[in-house]
Amino acid sequence: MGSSPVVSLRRVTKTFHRDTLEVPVLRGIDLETSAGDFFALMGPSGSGKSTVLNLIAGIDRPTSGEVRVAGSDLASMSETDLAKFRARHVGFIFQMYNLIPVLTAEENVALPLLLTPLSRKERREHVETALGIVGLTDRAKHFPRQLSGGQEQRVAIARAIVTDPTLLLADEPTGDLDAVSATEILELLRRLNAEFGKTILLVTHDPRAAGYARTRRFLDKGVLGEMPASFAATAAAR
Amino acid sequence: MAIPLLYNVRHLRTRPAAAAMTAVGIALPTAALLFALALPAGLNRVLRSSGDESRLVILRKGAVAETGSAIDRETARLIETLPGIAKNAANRPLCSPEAAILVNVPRRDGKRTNLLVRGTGERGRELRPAVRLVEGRWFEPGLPELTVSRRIATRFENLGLGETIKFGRSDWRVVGIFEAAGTSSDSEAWADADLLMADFRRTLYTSVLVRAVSPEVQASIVRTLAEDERFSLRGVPEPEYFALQTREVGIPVEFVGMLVSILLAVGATVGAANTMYAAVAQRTREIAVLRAIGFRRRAVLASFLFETFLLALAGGAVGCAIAFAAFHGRATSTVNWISFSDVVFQFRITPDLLGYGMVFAVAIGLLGGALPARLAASRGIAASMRAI
Amino acid sequence: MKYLPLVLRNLFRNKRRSGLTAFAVAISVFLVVVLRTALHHLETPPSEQSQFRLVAHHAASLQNPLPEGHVEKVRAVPGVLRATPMTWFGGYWKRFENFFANFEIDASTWWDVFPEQRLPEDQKRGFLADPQGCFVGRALSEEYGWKIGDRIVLTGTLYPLDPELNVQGIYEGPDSTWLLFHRKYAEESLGRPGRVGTIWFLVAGAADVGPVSERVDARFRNSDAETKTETEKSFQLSFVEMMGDVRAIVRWVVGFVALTMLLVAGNAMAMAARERLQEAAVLRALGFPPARVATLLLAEAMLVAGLGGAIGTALPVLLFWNFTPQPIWFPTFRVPTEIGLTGFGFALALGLLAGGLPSWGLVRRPIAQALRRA
Repeated sequence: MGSSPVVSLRRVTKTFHRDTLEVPVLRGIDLETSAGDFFALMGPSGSGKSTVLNLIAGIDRPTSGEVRVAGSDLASMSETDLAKFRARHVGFIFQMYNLIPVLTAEENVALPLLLTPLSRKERREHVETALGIVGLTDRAKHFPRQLSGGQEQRVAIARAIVTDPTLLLADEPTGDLDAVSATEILELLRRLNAEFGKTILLVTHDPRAAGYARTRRFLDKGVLGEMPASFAATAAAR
Repeated sequence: MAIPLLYNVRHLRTRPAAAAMTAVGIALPTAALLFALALPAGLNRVLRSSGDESRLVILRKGAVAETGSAIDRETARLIETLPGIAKNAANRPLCSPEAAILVNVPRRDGKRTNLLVRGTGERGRELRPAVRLVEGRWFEPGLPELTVSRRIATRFENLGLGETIKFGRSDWRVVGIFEAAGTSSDSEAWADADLLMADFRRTLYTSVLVRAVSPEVQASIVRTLAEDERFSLRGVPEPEYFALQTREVGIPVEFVGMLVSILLAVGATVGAANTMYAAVAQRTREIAVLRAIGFRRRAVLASFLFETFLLALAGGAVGCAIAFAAFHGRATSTVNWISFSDVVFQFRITPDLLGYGMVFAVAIGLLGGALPARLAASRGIAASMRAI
Repeated sequence: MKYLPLVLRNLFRNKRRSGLTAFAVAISVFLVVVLRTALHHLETPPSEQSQFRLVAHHAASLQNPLPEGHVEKVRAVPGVLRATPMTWFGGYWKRFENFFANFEIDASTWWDVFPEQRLPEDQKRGFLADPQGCFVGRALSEEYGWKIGDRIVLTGTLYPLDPELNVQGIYEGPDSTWLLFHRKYAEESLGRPGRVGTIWFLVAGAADVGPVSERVDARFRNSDAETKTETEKSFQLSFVEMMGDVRAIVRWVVGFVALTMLLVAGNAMAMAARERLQEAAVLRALGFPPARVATLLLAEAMLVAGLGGAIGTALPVLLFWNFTPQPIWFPTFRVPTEIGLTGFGFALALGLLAGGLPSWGLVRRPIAQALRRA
């Protein structure tokens, strides 16, 4: 893999409006991730790290600055083009899993494939592969409410990788899990990075989770900076 | 201990769109019901107010309406001589032989209907003091002239003051306008009896209207008319005559209106139920907290019922307002299936109809809210706390 | 089609709400279909060949009879194929509430003009042989439980005559709600006044309707009894018009129904959308275009409405296929195809409108914001 950046943010700012109040969340972020990286963006809650992830996923737009992902400038794209972009390049993993409750595990995983021209048979093969990778082949017919939190998150990961996207984005993927399940998920992410060469961008406030990443950056009060010593120590312990 | 009512008001305010849609959903069937009720209320008023105890309508035996009746001139003259008929200032008996003739003419909206043209005379006017000339003059005997009610003048083609209409074999000119205080005369055009009959080549009157000096005398006149072979006629006090007609008039429209409002009410009940089920689902936790604090099931049930009651009250008020603004006082007409003549009447939204409307709306709300409220009250506290 | 499972699952997610909403739509469609069917049958005579059947009556109104001499004069008008007099007798049976259509007819010519009212030959002979005979429609006979051989006494409200009639036959036909008896019997009992209410006649084809009506009316112009000739359809329509502005009332009702149902269904779909807000955001984050996410909810609304519409249309169609709720008013109450189809279309339009706004609302909010709302 070359060193060309998959993600590149330049002088990105984001300001939210709460009633008449202006709340600056990002105050000029520069950030690059190259293909094949496992990148952790850390920071306390409210630091704006989820906003960075949303900008990269193209589900939010910056107030100013440039966001380039997989060679496209997201700022200039329409809603429909952004949707196409996400379907093609982004696999999203949420803290709360966000599976569709009325669909079974395999149907949830198959959802993004509906946007591809694949045949029914091909779709089934892809779903089997993805569920195989996350180790949930035997839970294919289960509904989300019949799964544990860790299992749900693994289904969500299968859903994120099933279309073989350029980029996996994970927003606090272990935030709602017990320690054992969290470790399973992080190990899975590391394996996806190491064995399958997936570029992963992880957002977390948990230094232990960040320890699984190859690159770590720290976001505080809307500015990227060095990692505080206490965080660095916990992360290195991994 | 009851849950404060303010709690419900606040909740309704947090979802104004759903609350408004539900309320208006209740308002529309309420308005439809009032429409259906305002119609017979208006018609009944016409036919009731028309009936005067002291007046006797004399018809052919077997006839149920003037238009299907016939009385020859000889008999009409004989009736005039009956003892006990009231006299006017000039000492002439208050007895008016009349010819009620249906004429199919176009209304101003282009539809044709049967206008009742009444051939009458001076004594016919004396017998009906409710009828007052308000413009122009009365028709002259022997001339093809009409004096018509204000409502007819505005609703029918060529029947405005000064206009001329052709029927029978003559061109009739409208020379005056009268008002009849909402009685059935408001649906009529009047002309000289003899000329009208001649115009239609008729030799028979359709009815005779008389006033007796007293109710007892009236009863004896009725008996004489029925039993005396020279007559073999049917005398009907006016209220009774009109009561018979009220029965059949407007029934199809009234029936359809009731059917519509009831079916719409079912729809609105569903709407209210949907809204309240959503409210219960949204507040599962809150209800559990209220229960945990110590409010009883009954209090939760009452609280939710009160909320739909509020919605229904608002809906009912809106429905009444819509109905009042849209229908009250609006003049329309329908056919009297007994006489086949057009009856003009006004929709009337009376206070008691508004009361029915509110009861109807509240019934919709409570019916729709009952099951969701029961569901809310029946949930276990612990189970509800775990939910969400 | 690959989205169908998702739409269906969502539909069954809140069975109670979907079911109630479909039920409400079904009721409203039922109402609209029944009302429009009623209006249709009120305005349309049931006979197939009625286009070519005309009726002449007194120009002033039906209350005024025509002299019987008019019948022969109408027959002589060029273009008139066959003609027969028919007089509304206006009688009731026993009680005034039992009011129905009863006519005096001329038995020798009546079937020339009304061949669709079929009476078995032997019964017809019985009727012809009995001066006080009458025959009644199947629907009417069932309403009052009359059988052949019964004696019926009518009370006349228009003429001083209470005819005593023997039921000689029961006819079948598109309008089997009449009682018919000999004109001669009524005329002789009344002392030969020589009046007829209406004269019905046939013309060769649609092209003849205008000219022949004009010729008939011209024949009697400036006479003591001018006529007005109309088609059977316009004759029937004139009674509906007399009832008031029935069309306007039906239009109002349909408007009320549509508005109420729009509120009920729209509210239900808005609630579904509110519950689905976060899921919609997830779908969009996965790369589903906004239009497709919105379409999923819209499809759900259309399915609920379509289901309700199908029930609301099928019910009156099946119910009234061979059954008439009010035989005196409606000889048939079968739902015309076009009204059934528009009823179903009404439901779909309802679904489209009720689902449209909430669906749009579902994808209008920025994804990030919708996700945070969880």
